[in-house]
Amino acid sequence: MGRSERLSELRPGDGPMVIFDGVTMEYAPDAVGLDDLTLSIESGEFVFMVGPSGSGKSTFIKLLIREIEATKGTVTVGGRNLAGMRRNRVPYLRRAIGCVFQDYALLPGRSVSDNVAYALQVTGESPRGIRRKVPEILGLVGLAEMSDRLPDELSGGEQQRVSIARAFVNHPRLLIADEPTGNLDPDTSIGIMQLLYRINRTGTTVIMATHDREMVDKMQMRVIALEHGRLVRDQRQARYASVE
Amino acid sequence: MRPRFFIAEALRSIRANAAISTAATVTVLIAVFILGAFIPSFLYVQSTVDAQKEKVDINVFISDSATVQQVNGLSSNLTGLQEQGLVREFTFVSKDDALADLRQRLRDPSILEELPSNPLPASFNVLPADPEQSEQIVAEVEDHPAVDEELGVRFAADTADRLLTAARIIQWAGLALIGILLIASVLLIGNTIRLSIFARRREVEVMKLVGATNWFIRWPFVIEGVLCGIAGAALAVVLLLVIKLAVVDAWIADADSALTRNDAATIGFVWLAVLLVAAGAVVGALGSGITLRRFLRV
Ligand SMILES: Nc1ncnc2c1ncn2[C@@H]1O[C@H](COP(=O)(O)OP(=O)(O)OP(=O)(O)O)[C@@H](O)[C@H]1O
Ligand SMILES: [Mg+2]
Repeated sequence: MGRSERLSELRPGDGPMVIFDGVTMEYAPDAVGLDDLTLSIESGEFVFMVGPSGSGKSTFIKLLIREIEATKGTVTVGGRNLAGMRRNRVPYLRRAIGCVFQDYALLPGRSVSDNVAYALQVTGESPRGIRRKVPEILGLVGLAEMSDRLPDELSGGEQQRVSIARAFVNHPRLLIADEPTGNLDPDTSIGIMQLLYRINRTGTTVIMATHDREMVDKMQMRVIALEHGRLVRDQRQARYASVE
Repeated sequence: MRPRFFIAEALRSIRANAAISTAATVTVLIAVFILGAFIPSFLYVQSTVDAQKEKVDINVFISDSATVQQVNGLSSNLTGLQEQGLVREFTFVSKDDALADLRQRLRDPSILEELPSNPLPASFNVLPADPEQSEQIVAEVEDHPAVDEELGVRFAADTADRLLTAARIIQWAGLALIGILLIASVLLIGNTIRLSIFARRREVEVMKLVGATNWFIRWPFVIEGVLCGIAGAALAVVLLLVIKLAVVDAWIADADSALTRNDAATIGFVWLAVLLVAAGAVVGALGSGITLRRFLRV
């Protein structure tokens, strides 16, 4: 476990949390997800990834949790080069990163609390720890009343919040969210945004892919804009679109 | 590892996929039932053949004109073969013994009284250690001067040959059939479990994405396979027991003594049951373990 511990021990100020160096992701010769992307994200930062549909935001996130492997270039997370990472270390990487998936990726046959608990069980958390932590995090995302519901008994926004609760229940140092406010009404979006912001204030690095122009403009955080898999803008305290 | 968690996960998945679990259990039930009916039958035939093999003997007929020294010489030759391990045991049958034996077997011994002298030769009755080596023993002794030129050395070459061939065929065919049955049931249960996993591949994918190791995902599936395997095998054993009590035991009791008296040792039912349930568990574990491999490469 020692090596994966490094990732969870990384604190703001310890150096970059994420480094992409000349990363290209080719799904097929004619399907390029990312094209020679170079950037770095410091620990403790809050970053928006923006760009039109198909610009490579989800590809970027999938590379981070090594759901896919880069065709060219190196991806470094928490000081670990993912290309050199042995297959059996990947689960430990994924535990150290919290990820809110674009399609929520909930376990269909399990209740809200069982879904969140699974992320703890995977790490070997004790039943006592699970009984304590799950209600706590469900309270934080405002789902305390729904812990026994199944995913298909929840609205999209509620499933979204279960996904966030599961991503954060291990208190990862890096939290990635792929369009966590997509298809949500403005009020719910703001609630989720505030939650991610609070999580960021505890020292967690947050990377959020989004189309939500209003939200990005309001937050005034670092914005990384992609187009056709290429970096077109990387700006601090920025808005969704560049202002000439 | 936390076995309680994995068992709970396996039970949850059996409940959630009741139809597929039932299908897997029934698959094992059928395979184990066939295996369970076949093994004792195979052992029965095998041991009957073995018992016949025991009875393959060689008769070395001694010439009436042989001297005592020559007969002693033949006897020590046979002792030599015994020391080499070719001969299991041999006995001397004198002319009088042979006549007494014949008298016993005749329905009307009085005809023997008519004989002017004992026409039966003395002989050595030789039991080979391995019936397959009978020819070799014959070759070793047939040229000995004590051996009667006309009668020579006899053994039921034909019967022995056929018996031995039958024994070999039964042995290999039986083992091959058991092997095929076992492989077929691994594939069958594997196929059933593949259905279950295929229906849940997204679930497996999600588990991997939130940081589950392969074994963390695999254990519940393997336990699920083992539980279905044991359940199916146990049901098959119950079915076999019912059939044994209702049909086979009654049949043996009714059959004439030739059948019941046989020394054919088959296998005790308890051992058979233990063997079958163990086989069910192994088949279930292998079936799910092997099948899952393809789905874990995320
Ligand atoms: N598995 C795949 N096989 C082939 N091409 C893919 C695959 N996944 C993504 N792509 C392609 O890679 C490009 C980037 O896709 P990606 O999912 O990263 O976009 P995105 O920015 O997340 O879009 P959205 O905002 O719609 O979620 C797209 O052109 C897409 O068609
Ligand atoms: Mg996307």
